[in-house]
Amino acid sequence: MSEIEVHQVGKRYRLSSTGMPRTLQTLPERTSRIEQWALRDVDLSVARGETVGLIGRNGSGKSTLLRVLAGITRPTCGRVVVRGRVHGLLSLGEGLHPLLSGEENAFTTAILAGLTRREARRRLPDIAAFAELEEHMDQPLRTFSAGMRLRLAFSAAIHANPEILLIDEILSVGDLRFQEKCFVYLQQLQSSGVTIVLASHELAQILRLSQRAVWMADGQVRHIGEAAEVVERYEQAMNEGVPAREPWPEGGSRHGTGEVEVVKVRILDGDGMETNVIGGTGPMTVEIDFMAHQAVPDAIFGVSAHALSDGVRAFDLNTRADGHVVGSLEGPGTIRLHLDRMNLEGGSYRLDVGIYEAKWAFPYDYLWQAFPLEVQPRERPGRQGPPHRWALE
Amino acid sequence: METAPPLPTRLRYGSDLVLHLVGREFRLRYRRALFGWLWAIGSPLARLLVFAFVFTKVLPLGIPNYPVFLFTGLIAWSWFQGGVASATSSAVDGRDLVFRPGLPRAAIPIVSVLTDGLDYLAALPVLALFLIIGDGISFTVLALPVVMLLQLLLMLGLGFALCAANVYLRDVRLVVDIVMLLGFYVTPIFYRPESVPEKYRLVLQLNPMARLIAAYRDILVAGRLPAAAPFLGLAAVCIATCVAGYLIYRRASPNFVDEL
Repeated sequence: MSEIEVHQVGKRYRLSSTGMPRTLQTLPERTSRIEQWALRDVDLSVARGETVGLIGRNGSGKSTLLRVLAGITRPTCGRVVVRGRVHGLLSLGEGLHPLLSGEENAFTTAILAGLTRREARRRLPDIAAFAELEEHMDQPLRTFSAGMRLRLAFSAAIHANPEILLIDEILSVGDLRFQEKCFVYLQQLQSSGVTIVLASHELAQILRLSQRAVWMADGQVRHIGEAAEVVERYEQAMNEGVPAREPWPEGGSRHGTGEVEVVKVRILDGDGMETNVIGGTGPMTVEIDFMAHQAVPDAIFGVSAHALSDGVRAFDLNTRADGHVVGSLEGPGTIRLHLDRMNLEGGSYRLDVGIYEAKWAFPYDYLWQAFPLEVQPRERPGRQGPPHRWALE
Repeated sequence: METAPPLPTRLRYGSDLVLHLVGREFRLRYRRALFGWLWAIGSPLARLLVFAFVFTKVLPLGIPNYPVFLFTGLIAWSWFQGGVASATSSAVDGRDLVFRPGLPRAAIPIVSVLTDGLDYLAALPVLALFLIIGDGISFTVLALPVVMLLQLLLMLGLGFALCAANVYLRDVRLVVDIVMLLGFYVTPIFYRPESVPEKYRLVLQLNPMARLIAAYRDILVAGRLPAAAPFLGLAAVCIATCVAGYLIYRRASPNFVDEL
């Protein structure tokens, strides 16, 4: 039996033209208000223990759908059935009070998340331990850094025994190591049968956690299916709206707005020699010369590879997912991606290289399947060539 | 349509939630103040001093045991005024609570009304002191929880309805402030209801706070139980207000998020 069922759900907002809270002065203008459908004809069912990712641009209806699932707002039409204790990580850190201690705030957050006082008190040590704030819990929250506050809020919220967890764009909590810890915790929740619906702009997060994904556009479900497939279609469509550019001589296709351009891409082997033939275990370095025609405050670099035979993605790496902050770019520059070791099956591959706007809004320059890469067969055939050794006792 | 957990579970969670938030609000209000919650009785005591001076020395009203008479009315009115006003803006101010999945929204105005109730409770020992110094405490003080409960129900009803209205029209809170200001003078708090000319008495009859304060004075000052029939009528009005307010709130609250 599915735990969440959404049937033909629509949500209409009436926007007042000014966006101001209503007062008697604005009442006569009531008729002139604009109507907008934030959700329309949405159908979705989520099975117990399943994780579904929501992707789409800002304003595509992801957050509204989560709010409807959370039961904090009523759909205008359609039917929503949610079976189980819903917890939402929809906005972190609200309701925290700077004058109260970390412990009091954690206690409040846990109670607001659905625990009774007794349960909350019992979980307090776990919450403090997970947030790694044991020594700070008796201090007032105003002495906490922003990262510490978010860690505390996140930790208190996830320790409330959810059956259904709704997450909206909040997995960028704290530093990378803490984010990783949150991921591992979410994976534990998954394996204990918790149903998760998460919205994120970070497609890598969606791919890592979700079995299925829903691509939302203009309040409607554009596509729903296996996460990898939906994400790929979405990525392709994101590039479609962007002006196409003259393709690279070697082939493939090229899109982007052109503020920052890829000038040259070199593939280097372990000795630093330029080549496009690499051993199946690496190492390999991808060196990208770029030119920022105008200054940009930040950017994301990405390199991915697909097997030519079946189109299967071999790897997909980007600076954002690895927590590498590129910073401002101006004029010419070079970035290198070092792959110390690979386990690629021998064959023909194509590399994609992209430079993106810092919020993934659009590519500055994206070269799809532009760079051929030949991987030499390993001595032993097989899809994987894991580093290995034998030991006999 | 969320499938709701069983009622006892919800009630236990709801009461835990309310108790915790009330305690938190109360602590926050007097946090880092040197005298802490003692300030809860500071404001009614200050008002007591001023009014007692004016109406015993400047314009003597000739009411016996005036400080007790006055204090009884003052603290009941303070609770009413503070509680209803903060309940009215509770949903707008407590946006983060409204946006919390699974949180019973009825808790939001209830917390406001109860938090101001703690100020009332804090003032009770002072009242007891006045009574002991004065004519002594009558056994009718045992009826105090009943009268307080009626005031609580009345305030919850008004708080629910006004809270819902304020989400849609922010003028409501401003109107409430003015009505409370006028109400302080229209309600016999520092004067006797008998002093009101006959032709205006109807206003007092229709004002449940006037009747509640009369009931407080019956049991605390005069040492008698209120007349049964009018008191039952008052109880009915308070209960009906609470139910009606709750129904309005229950109907309006699912749409709060769209308006905040």
